[in-house]
Amino acid sequence: MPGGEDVALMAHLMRRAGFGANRDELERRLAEGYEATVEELLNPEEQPPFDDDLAYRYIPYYRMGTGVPSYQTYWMYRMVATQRPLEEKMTLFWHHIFATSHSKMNRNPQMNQQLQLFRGFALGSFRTILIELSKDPAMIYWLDNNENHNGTPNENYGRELLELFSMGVGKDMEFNYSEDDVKECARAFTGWTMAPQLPRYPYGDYCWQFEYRSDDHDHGEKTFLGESGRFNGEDIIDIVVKQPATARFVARHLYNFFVADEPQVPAWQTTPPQDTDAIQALEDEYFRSNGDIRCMLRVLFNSDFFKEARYKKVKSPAELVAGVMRLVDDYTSPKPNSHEITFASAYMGQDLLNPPTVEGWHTGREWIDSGALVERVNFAADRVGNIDNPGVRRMVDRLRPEAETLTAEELVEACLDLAGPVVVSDDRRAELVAHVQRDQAAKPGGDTFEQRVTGLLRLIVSSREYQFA
Amino acid sequence: MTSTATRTPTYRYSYTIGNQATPPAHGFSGPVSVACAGNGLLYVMCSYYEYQPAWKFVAKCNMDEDYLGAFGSYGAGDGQFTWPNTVAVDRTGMVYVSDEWLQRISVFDGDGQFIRKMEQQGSSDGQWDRPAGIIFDADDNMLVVDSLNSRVQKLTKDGEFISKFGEFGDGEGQFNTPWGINLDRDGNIYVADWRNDRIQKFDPEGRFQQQFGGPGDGEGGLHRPSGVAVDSQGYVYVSDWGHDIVQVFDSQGGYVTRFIGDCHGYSKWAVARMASDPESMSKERAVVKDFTVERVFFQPTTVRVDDQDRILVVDTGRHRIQIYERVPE
Repeated sequence: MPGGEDVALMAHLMRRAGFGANRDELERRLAEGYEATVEELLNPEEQPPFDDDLAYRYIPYYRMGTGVPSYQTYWMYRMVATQRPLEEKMTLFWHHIFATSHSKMNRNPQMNQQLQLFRGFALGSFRTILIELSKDPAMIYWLDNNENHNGTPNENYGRELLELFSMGVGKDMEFNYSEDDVKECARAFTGWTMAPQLPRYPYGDYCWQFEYRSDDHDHGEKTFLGESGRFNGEDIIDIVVKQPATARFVARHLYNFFVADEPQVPAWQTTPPQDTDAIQALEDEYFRSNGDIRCMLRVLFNSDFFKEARYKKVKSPAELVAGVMRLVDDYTSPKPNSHEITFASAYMGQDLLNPPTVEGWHTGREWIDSGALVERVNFAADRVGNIDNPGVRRMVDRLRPEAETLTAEELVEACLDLAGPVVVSDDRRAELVAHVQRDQAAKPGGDTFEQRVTGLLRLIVSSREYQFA
Repeated sequence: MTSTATRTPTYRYSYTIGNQATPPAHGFSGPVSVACAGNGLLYVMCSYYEYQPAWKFVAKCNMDEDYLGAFGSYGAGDGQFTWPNTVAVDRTGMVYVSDEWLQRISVFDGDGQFIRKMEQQGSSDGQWDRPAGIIFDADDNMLVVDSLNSRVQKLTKDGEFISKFGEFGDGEGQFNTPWGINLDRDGNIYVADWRNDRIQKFDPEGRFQQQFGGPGDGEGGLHRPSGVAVDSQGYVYVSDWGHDIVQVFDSQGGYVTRFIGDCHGYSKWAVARMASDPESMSKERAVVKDFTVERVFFQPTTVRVDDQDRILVVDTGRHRIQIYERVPE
């Protein structure tokens, strides 16, 4: 079977630009080539759309549920089953940045509508994304812009638009904007609200719709980031997207999400990027392409800094869960109890659609504590240890022709290869080999071949290395 | 916007039964199917959340909006449901529920007492793979849409094989993941050929007669039709699930009109529900300008015609049944 550097690189791409791929998918993509796969990922609209009809037929509440687990579960199902992995990965990316929670909403289809917005604009221009975000009723309600009135501005959305969604507080030890800029920004977004909507009962939830109320908008003169005019929200965003700070902000977020764990976002003002050349390349592409996210990702995925950044990111819980399910090929079509895998992500520390604050989740090593690690290990080990999962069965079947001749070392190598490939330290490899040898010595002729393989797979996904993408 | 007929016959919205609730509260939760058991008696299959066992059940009520109880829950045990598809009633009043995940048809008495189950997964005669729509014919035999085997089987009430028709494909008499089924007064069989976006009509022996609809978004174009019913004059009602409407065809397959949903009043249960918290509900409603979203269908899954020619549309996403009547000419 194909192996080596090519498959390792393709697996790296699919872990980062998607949620991982099993061996069959990796081999199909290898036949197409790396650059062609990047293009396929960057152009999801050329792949089959998600089969919502099938999902809604068997699990009606994926579409019309009023409880938030409906949409959490539906989203996790999409991550596992999608044929457009980057589209779903970018939806997660924007959810990390534009962190909105159902906890305040109590109008849960609204969260699903926000995800649809992210999905639709995920790879477009950053300007468009910010404008659509500013019109998104979930965001408007989450950050109180419906309370942002002419004469009595509420600065919550205006502040977070600058601080958390576009520029960041500062870069290179400098502040990116002033308190006055926040106030002027808020004034520009007065009147951006949503139309009143019916209550949930008696017939279920309804989504809000964006509404611009000119009579509640502050049409007065404003000065923002050194420019003056009778700015409305779009004008503010036009100014924001021109800023070097915004290019830096988008570049660092893309790097942090797709390449390697950076310090937490609040530290970015005082902590320079770990790879300044990479960030500069992404900033350059931001300006060259007028803030086109697809173009920036093309540069990123084809760069050496990306290709060399293997296992430099801790998988988020959602990535871990979806990746394991894709590996074992379970929940890739509608199936009951899919909430269980969604809840598993929450137990590991990532309750989708319910980030802890508007800052989103702290990522990287902060995903890991002793409780979360136990959840991660148990979840992955249970799935790869289940021979009834089609992906596990295929891994066993691939190795079965050599069952009688594989040495312990060869079996370990083969399983590491099929499970990722997963790259482990020499010490870890030696532990795995010793386990196989011990197992054979303790139970000569005892375990079946499939039990030996699944046992080894359980140990591999329990390893420190498997926690990294 | 109100549904209007573009040609005769004309229809009027009558009233609504429903309210989002779980037992013992009076209401439905994600109703997907209704069986008309005669004398106005209804059994409504509700298929909502899996993460809360109480949200899958059969509600028993009548056309006068009297709530008569509920039975069943989520699960795989006897009398439980996982992916319930259709509820049907035989001529003795026994209640049958098909379940696509459990590969099962469960049988209850009229009071909801579990009696027995049929689990016959496979592709041989008398076996099924994801049983979907079910209906009883004049001889009280059971017609089962054998969804993933792309066929319809006629079985005795005990599940013994009698006959079958259909195979996978998109030609005449072929199916792709069919769903609902119904009969007209002459015993002709209508099948919602879900993935093929059409309704197919067969004679009582299963011989292909004609098809309605087809893929499209215009008049008569269907997207994933899930249910079908026929009234005493041969008009065919299709729950056009993917378009969130009901379309009406004449007996020759010609497009007649469509219903988009017209619930502009409250069911008896909804009135009671709103009375429980009148201040907050009226306060929220008072500022709403457009009530269209409340009126229209959201994922209408099943349509039935009762013995008085009333048309019942199971409005899944709004937890209710909207009822229409043909205006006498």
